[in-house]
Amino acid sequence: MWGYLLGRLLQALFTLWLAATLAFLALLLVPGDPVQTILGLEASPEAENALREQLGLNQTPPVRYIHWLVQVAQGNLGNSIRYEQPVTELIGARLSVTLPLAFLSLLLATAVALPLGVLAAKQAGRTLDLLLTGLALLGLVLPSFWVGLLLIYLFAVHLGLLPSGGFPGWSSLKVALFHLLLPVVTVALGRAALLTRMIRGSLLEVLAQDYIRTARAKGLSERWVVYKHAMRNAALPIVTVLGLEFAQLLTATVVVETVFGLPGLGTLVLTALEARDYPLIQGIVLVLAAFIVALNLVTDFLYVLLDPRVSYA
Amino acid sequence: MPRRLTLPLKIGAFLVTAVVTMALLSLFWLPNDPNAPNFLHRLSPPSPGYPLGTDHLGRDLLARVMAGAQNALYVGLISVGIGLGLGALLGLLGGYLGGRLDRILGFFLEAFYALPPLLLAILFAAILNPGAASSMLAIGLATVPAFYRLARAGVLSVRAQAYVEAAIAQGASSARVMFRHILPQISGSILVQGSLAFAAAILIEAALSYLGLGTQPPTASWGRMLREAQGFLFLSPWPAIWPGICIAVAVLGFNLLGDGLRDYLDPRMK
Repeated sequence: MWGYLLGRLLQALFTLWLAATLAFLALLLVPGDPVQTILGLEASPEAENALREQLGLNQTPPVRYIHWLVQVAQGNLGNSIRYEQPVTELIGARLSVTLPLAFLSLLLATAVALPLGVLAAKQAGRTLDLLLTGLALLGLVLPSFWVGLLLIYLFAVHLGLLPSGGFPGWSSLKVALFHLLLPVVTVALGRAALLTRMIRGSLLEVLAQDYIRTARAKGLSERWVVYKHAMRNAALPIVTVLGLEFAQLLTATVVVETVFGLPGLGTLVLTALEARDYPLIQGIVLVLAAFIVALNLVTDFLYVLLDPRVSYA
Repeated sequence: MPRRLTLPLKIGAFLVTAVVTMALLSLFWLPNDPNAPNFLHRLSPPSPGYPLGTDHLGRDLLARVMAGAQNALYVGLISVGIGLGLGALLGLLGGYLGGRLDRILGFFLEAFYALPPLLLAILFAAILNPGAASSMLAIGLATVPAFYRLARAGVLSVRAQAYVEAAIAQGASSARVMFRHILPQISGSILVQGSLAFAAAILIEAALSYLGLGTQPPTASWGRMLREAQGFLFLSPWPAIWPGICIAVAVLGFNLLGDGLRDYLDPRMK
């Protein structure tokens, strides 16, 4: 088991290194002089030299690369050019929107998908199942940002019940959640659709097995059979794909932030791209990659915990 | 078991045909110039002159949606082409040749698999400037690992079969065995994956264009149209409705086509 986890850890570190290297290449591969790209042609030579110094561009690429990796390993992502603040501080502030949005969406998606997936599996082939699978398919093919737009039109423009966007901060929890309601529903919809499909499919396979018939024959309640006996095995294939699911969750979060004008990582990276703020772009890419890698690792640990039968030699 | 034309396959094929027809038709005929503004008819609802209405510049939404289909298929073709070509090639090589090459490829691509297309799109946009090229490259490269896995697994199951051994015993070169004997055998599953990847590519490209990281104006793209429509949502919902429906239809079509093809090509699986 430890060998397996060690292997996953190495893989995770490799992914992080890959992301750090790609982020480094992003600045290295900019055609022409990056300083002129960032500051424009009108900049004074002093400003250009200062920026060149800040970005370390007066050193050779290999030296810069080593330096960059050391800095990243120490958690130092440099200073933003546009905001003139440490990148880590800027990202930290924006995470207070992105993380709650992602977390609440996942929570809502799971809360919706679990009963619906179980229901669809138990009613497999009947009208209710067809309806639920149809809805889930719809939830998968509708682009999240379009759903967000439609929700804005319905609840903000048409009914005037909810704000069309923006975020006033966390000083009042009630107001903050009020502003996060539509974004959370938007992100959760696609995730819930996928989870419902996965739970249904996985549960269907397990429910057909002999030990389930035994459990029912023993006279256990249906609820106990489904949630205690079947779910534990049905969860395994779901957990294996959950890692990829986190990446999609973060992607959807970043996109939906833009729809609702929320000050999170997604809107920050778009501002950074527009301003050609390379340290900030690199920092955000790294932080997003780090989150995905960390969540993937958690998934791997969960898998081992859930499935004690398999030895991962 | 006989091959069946299942309902998903029929619906999928129908929707995909509709989108492809719309795109092909737009090459020869459009109801109006999709980029020509008409300031007298801004944000107008559907009317005989403009069947789907007009956007904030008075451009014909029907013409723009049709031109958008062309863009979506173009982006899908190129990015799936990159992912399928590179992924299938690496999978063939890794699965057939095995050994150290296979292990290195596997380790590298598994690590790469964790990075979502959006992340790559941000990096490519930073290097190349945001545009169709950077988004197609990002989507294409992000789909390489999926095709690699599929092709590699296919090779491993086919390689042990007698007809492949016979070909090797006759002295066929590795390249000949891989491309003439193994590739045709696994092309069905690659085609299925290709259809699913096409659906994903259309969805991601629309998201990137919506964010401003994909297709740039004046080229009509469904994602970009939604981005522009949002600013005028308070005045007219029409510009925000049609592109969304088009994305959903195209994505649904390619998804169902992929699922249906899988059942059709392999009737034992269900």
